[in-house]
Amino acid sequence: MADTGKLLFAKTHEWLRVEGNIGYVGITDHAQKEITDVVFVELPKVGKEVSKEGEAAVVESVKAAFSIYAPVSGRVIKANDAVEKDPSIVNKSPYDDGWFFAIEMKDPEETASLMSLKDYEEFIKSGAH
Amino acid sequence: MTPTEDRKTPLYGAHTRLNAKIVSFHGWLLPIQYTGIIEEHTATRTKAGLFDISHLGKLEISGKGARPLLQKVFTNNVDKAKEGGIVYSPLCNEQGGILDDVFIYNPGGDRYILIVNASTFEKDLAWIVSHNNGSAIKDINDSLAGIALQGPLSEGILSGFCETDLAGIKHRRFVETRVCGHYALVSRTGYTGEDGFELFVPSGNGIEIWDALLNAGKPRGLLPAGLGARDTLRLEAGCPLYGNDTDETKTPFETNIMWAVDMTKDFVGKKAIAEHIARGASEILVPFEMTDRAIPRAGCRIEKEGCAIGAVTSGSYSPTLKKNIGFAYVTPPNAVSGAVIDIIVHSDIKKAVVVKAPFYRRAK
Repeated sequence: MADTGKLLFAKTHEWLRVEGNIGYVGITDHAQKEITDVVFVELPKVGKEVSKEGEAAVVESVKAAFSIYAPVSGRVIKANDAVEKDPSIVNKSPYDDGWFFAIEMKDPEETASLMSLKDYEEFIKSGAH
Repeated sequence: MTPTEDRKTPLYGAHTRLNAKIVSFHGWLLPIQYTGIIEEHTATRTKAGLFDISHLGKLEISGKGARPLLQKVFTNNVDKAKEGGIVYSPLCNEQGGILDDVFIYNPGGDRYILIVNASTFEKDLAWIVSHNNGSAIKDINDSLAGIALQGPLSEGILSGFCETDLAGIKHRRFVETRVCGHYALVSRTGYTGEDGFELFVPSGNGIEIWDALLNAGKPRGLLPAGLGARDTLRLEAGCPLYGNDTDETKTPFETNIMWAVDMTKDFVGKKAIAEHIARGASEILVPFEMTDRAIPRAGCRIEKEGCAIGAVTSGSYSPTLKKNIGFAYVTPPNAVSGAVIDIIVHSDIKKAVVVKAPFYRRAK
């Protein structure tokens, strides 16, 4: 189980796990619950340049599609094919097996605008999203 | 028009007790899901699902003029419904545009019960009244709660509570009987592609009957199911949804339901439909499935070699088939099984193929 205390969170409900200059991206437990049954994931291709807050992936439930935004800018170096093959992994394991893609980060300072777990939980409770 | 408050169905209390996620649907507060759309969908296909269908509009038309009135306003031949039978029919305006699609129940004795869409109830009522010939047209909406019990275990679950032997009720037939000791109109019908029943019972007894079926069915795998599962089930079964796949701008010709139009009798809209057939349709409603990986959604544009040829009207992931499927209007040359079409999903071209309905057919 990932240590969610070490993750960083975006207001658009993505999480970022930083390992050196690599950032792993997924969606939060709150997001997977709101989306309900994930039936489709479309990931960015490896090599694609993504920019902070730009659309990077698509997640769909039976009823609707949701855009997933890159929490930081950089180049996609890995995509988790397992969630494309079995999208229900996103519901079962949003912080571990359900990761979406990894970015070689361009500017580590971009993480400064992301929230801690505590701040993210406050943010959800405030209903401001 | 002033906004009106959403109404609660007679079963509303049961939904909140089950912690359903409630949405506003054509003026009604209804459960979109209880535990999850896929789980509810699968339970209905393999065991049983219990649905609140109280929002459906209910009208009773009676008197010596009832039959001629219905023959005039409906495109299908009402006489196809013998006593205890049900006939499906579009209701069209003078231009042949579909005002609604309706199930007409014939209990006999110059009396008919119409089950209409929630979204069109007021419009249907006004339209039928405007053609009235002295028949009694009664709004019986508030007096009845509607419950659909769908899935292979339906007969076994309902039989414990119904006074009538259910084995004797064939597909698209009904009886007026008693369930849990209360009046019930019980038909072997549904909107899921499974065997099952639709019950209309006195509003005040709705929750009692809902709970009886739920409690008896639960140990056998029945789940309460919401509008989300109802939509994926009807799509797999190849049933168009009024308001999505058909509306007033479409005739039965272009929606491919001429089997429910009797051109040998006289009815409102007949002339326009005949002219439309002679002129040819500019687009036709077809079922399709995606061959590329993408979920089509209502409104997605359809192209062929870069030219617009239509649009998606319903689209979803199919939990039973594990494919992405939908309904779309396309130009007649493309409205043939096997035609390859391009659907624009999230700005990308995704391939799909026109198929034959239904997508899913239950094993008999």
